[in-house]
Amino acid sequence: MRFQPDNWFEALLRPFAMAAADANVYVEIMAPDFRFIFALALLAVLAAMTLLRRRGTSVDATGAMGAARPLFVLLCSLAIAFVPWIATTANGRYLMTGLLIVGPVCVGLARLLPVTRALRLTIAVGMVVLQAFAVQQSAPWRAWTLASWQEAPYFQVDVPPEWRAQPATYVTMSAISYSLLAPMFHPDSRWMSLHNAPPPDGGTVDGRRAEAFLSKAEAGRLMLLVPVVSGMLTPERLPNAKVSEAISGQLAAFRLGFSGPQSCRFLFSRGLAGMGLGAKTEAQRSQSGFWLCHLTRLDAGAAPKTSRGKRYDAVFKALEAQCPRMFPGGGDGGSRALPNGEVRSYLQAEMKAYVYDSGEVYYKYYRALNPVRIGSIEDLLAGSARVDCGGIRGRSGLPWEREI
Amino acid sequence: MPAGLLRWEGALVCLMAWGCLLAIPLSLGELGLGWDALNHHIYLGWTAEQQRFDLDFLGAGYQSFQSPYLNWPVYKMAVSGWSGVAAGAVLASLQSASVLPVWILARACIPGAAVFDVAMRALAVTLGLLSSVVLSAFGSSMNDLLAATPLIWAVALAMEPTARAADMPPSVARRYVVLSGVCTGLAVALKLSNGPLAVLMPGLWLLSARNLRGRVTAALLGSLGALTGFVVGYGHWGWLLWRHFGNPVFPFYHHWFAPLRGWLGWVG
Repeated sequence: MRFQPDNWFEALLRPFAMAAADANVYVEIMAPDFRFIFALALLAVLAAMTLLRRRGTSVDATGAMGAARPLFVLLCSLAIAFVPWIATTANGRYLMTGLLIVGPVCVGLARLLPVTRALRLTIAVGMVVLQAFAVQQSAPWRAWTLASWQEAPYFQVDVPPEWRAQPATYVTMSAISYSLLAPMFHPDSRWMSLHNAPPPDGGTVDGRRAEAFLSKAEAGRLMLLVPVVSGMLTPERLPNAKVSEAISGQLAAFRLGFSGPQSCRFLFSRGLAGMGLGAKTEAQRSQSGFWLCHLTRLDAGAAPKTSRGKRYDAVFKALEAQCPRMFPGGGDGGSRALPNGEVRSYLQAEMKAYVYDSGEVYYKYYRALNPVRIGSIEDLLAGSARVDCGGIRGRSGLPWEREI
Repeated sequence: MPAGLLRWEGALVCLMAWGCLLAIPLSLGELGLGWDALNHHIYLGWTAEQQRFDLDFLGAGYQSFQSPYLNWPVYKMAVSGWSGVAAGAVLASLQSASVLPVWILARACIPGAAVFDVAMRALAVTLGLLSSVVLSAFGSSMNDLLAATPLIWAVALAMEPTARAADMPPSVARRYVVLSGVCTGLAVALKLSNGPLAVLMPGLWLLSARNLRGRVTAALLGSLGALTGFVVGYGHWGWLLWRHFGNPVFPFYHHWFAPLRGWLGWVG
C-alpha cells in the first residue's frame, strides 16, 4: 500500500500527482511524468474543438476522427487500467505497459487536432522535449543502484576457500539478505534469512519451517553471515561487545547463539566498500565486509528471554481500532520491548507505533523524519486522543501537500 | 513516403531505439545492483537453474518464492564472469524487445504513409519510452520492463484486428487474439504483478470482431491462449511451490488453498 492513495480525491488526481518532481509518488524514485496531463489536456482541447465545430458546418475537418477508433480504444484501456492498478498497488513499476502506451496515445491525440500539420508536429515535438526535460532532470540512471558491477566478479567478497569447498548452513539477518553471495559458497550449502522469518515459538507454519530448517544444521557448520556494522568493530575488525550483544538478542528468538566469545572472522568485501553515500577513507574501506560467525543451537531453557513486550497491549489495541488500515491488528507479531517502552511494527503499512514508559504514545511512518505524538496513554485509552488516519505525516496528501 | 521505405519503418525505429537504449549501460560503464539485486535477483536466477526449496528456506526472504526465470540471464552472466557493462548491454538488448510493440501501437493510433505520419509515429515511440521508470531499468538488474514486454506485445497484437479491421480476415484476427492471449499468460507467469492489468485484456479481444458471436469466440480464444501461456510460463514453478508449500502462489492467498490441501490430505 506504499503508493496507494488514501482517499478518492487523491486517486482521481493521480495522473496529475505523477507529474510532481518528488520521490515515492507512484514509484520509489523521483520520476515526474507529464504525459498523462498531456493526454488529458489534449482530450479536453479536442472535445472543446469538436463541440465548437459541431455548431458550425464541419464535424470532422481533418477527416482523421473516423480512423481514430484504435486510438480511443487504447485511451479507454489506459484509463480503465488505472482502476485495477490503483486498487492493487499503484506502484509505477507495475504500470510499465501503461507508461509505454501513453506515448502513442498523446501523439495520436495531437494528430487529431483540427489544426495545421506544422502545429500538430510542433505540439508532438513540444511534448517530447518537455518530457525529456523532466526525465533528464530526474536522472533516472543509477537511481536504483546501491552497488556497482563493473568488472568480474559481480560483487567481490573474500570467501574463505574452506567454505567454498564444503557445505554448511548459513543464516543472514540484515534487511538485505545479500543472497547474491550464496552462489559463491558451496552449492550444497543451506541458506535462510532470519530477517522476515517468524520465530519458531510463534506458533505459525513458517515458524515451524524455520525451526525445521535450523534443526537440520550440522553442528560446527552453522554460520551467521552479516554485514559489518560501521563503527562497531574491534581493532581486529571483529564485532565489538555492544554489537555482539545486539546480534545475540536477535538470534535468541531462533534459539541461536554465538559458539564462543569471539566466533567471528572478517571477510573483506570490495563490493561493500563501494556502497554508501560519499567517499570513504582508506580506513573505512578496509573495514567494509562481512562477519562470518560460528553459531550453535541453544537449549530451550538456556536461550535468553526474547524481547517481547506485553505491558502496553491495550494501548496498541486502541490504536489499531482507530486506524486499522495503518495499524492492522496485532502488527507483525506482537510488540518488542525497548529500554523505555515498547514498539510495535506494521510492515504492511510501513508504520511503527511507540508507547513510552513516560506515558506518551507516538507513531512514525517510514518516510517521516520524526515521530508524531498522538497523546498520552490515558487519553488514547479514553478515546480523547486520536490519530488523524487521513493525515499520516510523510504519507498522506498529494505530493505537494506532504510533510516530512 | 516510398512503400519500400515504409516496409522497413518498424525495423528502423527499433534499430535506432536499440542504439539509444544500449548507450545507457555503455555510458554508465557498469550494471547497477540495487536493493533487489543484492537481496534476491541473483539468488532467484540461481534457483531458476536449479530449485533450492529442498535446501533453503527464505534464502532471499519472502522474495525467494517469486517466479525466477526473468532473473536467469543476469545470474548466468554474473556467475560466468561477465563484466557489468557487457551484462548491461545484453539486458538492454533484451529490454529493447518492448520497442516494436510500442511502434505497432503507434501505427494503430497514427496510420498513414506520409512523411508527417512517419515522423509522428517516431515521436510517439520516443514519447512512449520517455519515462524515468522505464529508462531507469536500463543499466540495472530491475526486471519490470522485461516482465512487461509480453504484456505490451499482448496489447499490440490485440489492437491489430481493431486497427486493420477493413483488410483483416476473421481467421487472421483470431490468430492475433490467440497470440495476444499467450503473451498475456506469459506476462502474468513471469511476474504476477502483471495480473491486475492482464484482467483487462478480454475487453480488447472482444473488440477484435464485428458481431457478437465473433466477439465471444475471440474472448474465449484469448482466454484459452492466456491460460496456455500461464501454464507454460508458471506451471513448473507453481508445481514446485505446491509440492513444497501446498500453494502454487506461496506465500500469497495461502488460506485459499487450505480446503484443497485438506482434501488431498496435505501434511505440513
